[in-house]
Amino acid sequence: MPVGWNRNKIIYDVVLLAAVVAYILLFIKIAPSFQDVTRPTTGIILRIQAFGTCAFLMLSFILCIGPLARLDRRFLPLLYNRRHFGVITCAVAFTHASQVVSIYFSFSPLDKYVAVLASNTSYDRFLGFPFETFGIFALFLLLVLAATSHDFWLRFLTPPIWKAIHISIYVAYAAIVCHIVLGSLLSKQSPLLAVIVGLSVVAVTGLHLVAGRIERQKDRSTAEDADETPWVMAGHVDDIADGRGIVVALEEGERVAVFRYGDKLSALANVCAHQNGPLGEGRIVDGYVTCPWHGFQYRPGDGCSPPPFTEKAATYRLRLDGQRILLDPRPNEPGTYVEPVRVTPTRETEA
Amino acid sequence: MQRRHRKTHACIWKVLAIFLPAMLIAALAIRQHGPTERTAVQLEKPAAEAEAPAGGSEQ
Amino acid sequence: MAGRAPDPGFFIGYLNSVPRSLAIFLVVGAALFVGGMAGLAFALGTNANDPGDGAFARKLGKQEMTGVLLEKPYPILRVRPDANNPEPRTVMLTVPGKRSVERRGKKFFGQVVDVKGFMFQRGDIDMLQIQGKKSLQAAEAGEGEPPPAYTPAPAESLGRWRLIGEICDSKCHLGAMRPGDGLAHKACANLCISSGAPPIFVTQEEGAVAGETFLLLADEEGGPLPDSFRDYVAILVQLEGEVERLDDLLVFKVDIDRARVF
Repeated sequence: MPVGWNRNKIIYDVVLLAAVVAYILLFIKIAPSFQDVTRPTTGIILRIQAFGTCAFLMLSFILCIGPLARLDRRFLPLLYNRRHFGVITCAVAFTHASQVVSIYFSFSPLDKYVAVLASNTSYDRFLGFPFETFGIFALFLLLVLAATSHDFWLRFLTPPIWKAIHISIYVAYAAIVCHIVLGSLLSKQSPLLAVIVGLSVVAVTGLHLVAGRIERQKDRSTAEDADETPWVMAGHVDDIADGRGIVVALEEGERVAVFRYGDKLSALANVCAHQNGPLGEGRIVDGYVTCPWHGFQYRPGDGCSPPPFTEKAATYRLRLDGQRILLDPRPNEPGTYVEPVRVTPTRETEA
Repeated sequence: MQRRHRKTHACIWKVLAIFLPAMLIAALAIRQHGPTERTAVQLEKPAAEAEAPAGGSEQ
Repeated sequence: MAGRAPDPGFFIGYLNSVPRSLAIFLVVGAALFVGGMAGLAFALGTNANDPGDGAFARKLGKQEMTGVLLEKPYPILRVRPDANNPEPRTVMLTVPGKRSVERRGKKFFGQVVDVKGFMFQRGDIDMLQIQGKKSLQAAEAGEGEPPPAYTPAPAESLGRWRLIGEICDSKCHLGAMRPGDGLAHKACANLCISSGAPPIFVTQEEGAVAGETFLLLADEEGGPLPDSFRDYVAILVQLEGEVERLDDLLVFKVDIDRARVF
């Protein structure tokens, strides 16, 4: 069952919560006794700093997971439950914000939420800019994403819209960097936070650029045309190990996953209907094409998920020319059955 | 559909790869450092003190 | 090709079995993540700027003092010397929360009053938080004594100065919050000042004028700063104006038009 709680998710969440609890406790309980200060920092301000920096670090890690998983499959398990990571980050950021409101913006004749917006209006300058605005904006995005993180919303909104909404996490990250730069790095802070923010920016943008470059290269190395139009050369039978697939890039920019299972070959769109995961990087498990992201499954022959699931992937026609695999780049309607192509193994392939 | 997403991702990160470091560098550039030398300057002496020597010279 | 790459084990989240090599990778990764977060917490947590020695001086106990309550530039008390404090002094006044003394004090401005409350102190500057029942009232004569009267010394001019420093709200900076300065605290400082906390100028150079680092701010006429001055709060600014001494408190009457960001 792809959705619902399971042991792996529980372990994932326990590790996350352990990291958050360790971070906060060390920051507010242990670190202060090592500070070189005349008098200690006020408790609630320590907590504001602790929860704020924790949320930023967590978001930085979250954003690294996607490209890391593209670069090294061993990071895929981090992707599997990434949404819980996001929801916990949102909770940490919300705690930061509510403590800010409860101390910086309370106790005055103004309503505290009015005070948040009205206390600093120096929008026309860099130094002293109301950096809280960026924080509020980012928190709003995190709350929307956390609230719509459940698969119910994914189905309700449809994957394209859900994905489009959830891409705004990048905007939230940029807003949080602005929030920290304008609220802290411009001030008399020590350089450590500047170094950490700099490393986060380098890691997050660098990984995305590298992963994006690799994807672009894949898109460029499109399948060659076969002798007979519109068929294209998808690869060689020996290229595909049993139970695995290869990804074929088409001229139009779409990708097709060609799977081998036993002596059969089938081709599906490379896009998982759940969250656009790369099906071709998945495996055949119990006879089903299994997405490497969340384990959604499809029958290789017709691209339908096993009941009770209703996801469908587009199928493609294949034929063999000797040991060469030819692919018809025109997709069939999702769920259309295509008779698998049978191969005669020329040599032993890996299990 | 997936290709569109790949393009959107690539586009967003190209923009952010310029914007975020620029933001950090700008911040470090305009970050205020207090002057190290003596900064308090007395522009005028108090009226009482200023008048006293003037009166003295007249005598 | 995917089929030729070394397979670290295919992970399917909802199947509870995780391939052994992948499990080891994940356990090490999880340990590094938790350890890394702990390390960063310690590094960032110990890396605080010194927020100074400002504090709510509860240990001094409740203070009682008599003096003339002045409205401008912000509510201050010219304290009449007594047996415990033979020198005349001037203290800034506040009430609990981010609120002005004005509501309670307006009927007493210019009069001799008795006040009670607790002190905020930072270095040698202090502020009284008027607190408790009957904590601000017209001064009462002791039995057989004449009605209390007090004429504070006139303001002494220290000349015209150009100073570099930061505008803070007195209450937070004197210890209601540590740190009570900097950009992270700017909106709070603005809110405090606009709610009635006297703004102070903290000079970059320690003891810049007559050995003092903290100066109460006023406009050139000796009134409160205009709202537009909020843009200059919490950053390094250069201000010019006349400095006056009221007992032990310096007042910086700034030329609004000559203020600039340093």
